[in-house]
This record gives sequence, structure tokens and C-alpha cells, in this order.
Amino acid sequence: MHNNKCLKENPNPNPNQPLLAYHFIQALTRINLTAHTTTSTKQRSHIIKHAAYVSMAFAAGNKRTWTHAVLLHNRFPLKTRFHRLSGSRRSFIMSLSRNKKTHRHAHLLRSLVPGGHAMEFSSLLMETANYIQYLTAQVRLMQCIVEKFDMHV
Amino acid sequence: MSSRRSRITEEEINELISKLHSLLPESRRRSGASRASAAKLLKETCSYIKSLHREVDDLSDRLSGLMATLDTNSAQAEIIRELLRS
Repeated sequence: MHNNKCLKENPNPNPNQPLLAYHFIQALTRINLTAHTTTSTKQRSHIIKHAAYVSMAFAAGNKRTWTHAVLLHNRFPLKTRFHRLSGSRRSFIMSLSRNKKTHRHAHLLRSLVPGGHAMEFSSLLMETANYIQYLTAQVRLMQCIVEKFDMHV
Repeated sequence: MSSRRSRITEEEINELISKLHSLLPESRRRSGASRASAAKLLKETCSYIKSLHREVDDLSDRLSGLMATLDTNSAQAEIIRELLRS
């Protein structure tokens, strides 16, 4: 659908706020149009949450591992893709995080960032930074929308 | 091999520092050894991401509730107006 627009290279690392808004509002409009009276609030909430992550990934562009993970999960929600690092690489990476505490936290971080298990430690950090930027932008966007709705209801 | 490892370690350190900057609402500038604060930074990052996920959940709930109460036509008009504004 919007593939032509989204898969263009996004050289700017900072979140493109209008693009984020565009994708998310399109999704919301679509949800509103296709919503049946039988859809419960809880169900719609899940759909909206899902749309938030997908539109976030679309806006972030194709260059990031976490966007791939989000969009893949979107297409095949039942399959969990688990990429295992090869043995020698893994031992090298484990030696980087020498501190046991660090390693534990890194493992936790991998489970939080989509696609985190398939990355090297240094790329995990970069992906996390990018992911956090987009997450905060998305949260701000949703807060604005909720405020605007609140005013007019 | 060891030189490559140290180079990656330096990159790591720079990543950690830039990450600290992007976590601005939570971070206080730490002048101590970055390795000592590495675990702390990771922990803060994890909890920050978790809180962001919770906010998305919460906002989705509120949006869902609000959309339920709106009339179709006015909702569409509102959304289109939002789109034009942004």
C-alpha cells in the first residue's frame, strides 16, 4: 500500500514528526471506518496499539533492524523468528560485556527492542537509541491526538 | 585481535554516552567511569522503554474509548483537520 513511500531511504536519524503523524492518522481513519459496533473498546485498543507500532516502523524507514522486526511480526504474527548468532561470534560478544550485570541488562534490553536478539551489542545500542527516539515521538503524537479529541468531545 | 577489541570497546563507550544524551529526561551527567555506569545506563534504558510501552498502551486505551464516543462524520472531519495541520 504505502510501500513506495516508506521504503525510501531515510537519511535523517531524527524522527520525522509529520511523517509519523501522517501514517498514524491514516491508520486511525481506517480503523474508524472499518470499526463495527461489535468491536469492543479493548479490541479496538489492541488494534490501535498495533497500528501505532506499525506506523512508527513505516515512518522510521527501511534501514533499521527494529523496523524490520516490527513489520515482519506484523505479517506473520504467529511465527516467532529467532535468529541465533553463530558460536564464535556469540562468545566474542559475551566477552565484550564482561560485567555479569551488564550482560544481564543487555539481555533484558534485547527482549525489549524488537529484533534485539539478532544483533551485535554495538548495533543493539544504536538500534535502542533510534527506537527510543521514535517511541518518544510516537507517544508525543498520541498525546496530542488524545488532547485534541478531549477538547472537542 | 586485541586492538580490534579495544576499538570496539571505545565505540561502545561513545554509544553509551550518546545514549545517555538521548535519554535526557532521566539522566544526570555522570563524570565517573563510563564502565561503572554502563549497567546503570542499561537498567535505566530498560525501565524507560518499559514505561514508554506502558504509555503507548494507556494512550491506545484512551484513544479507543474516545473513538467509541465520537460520531463518524465529526471524527473524520477532525482527523482530516489534524492531518492538514500537521
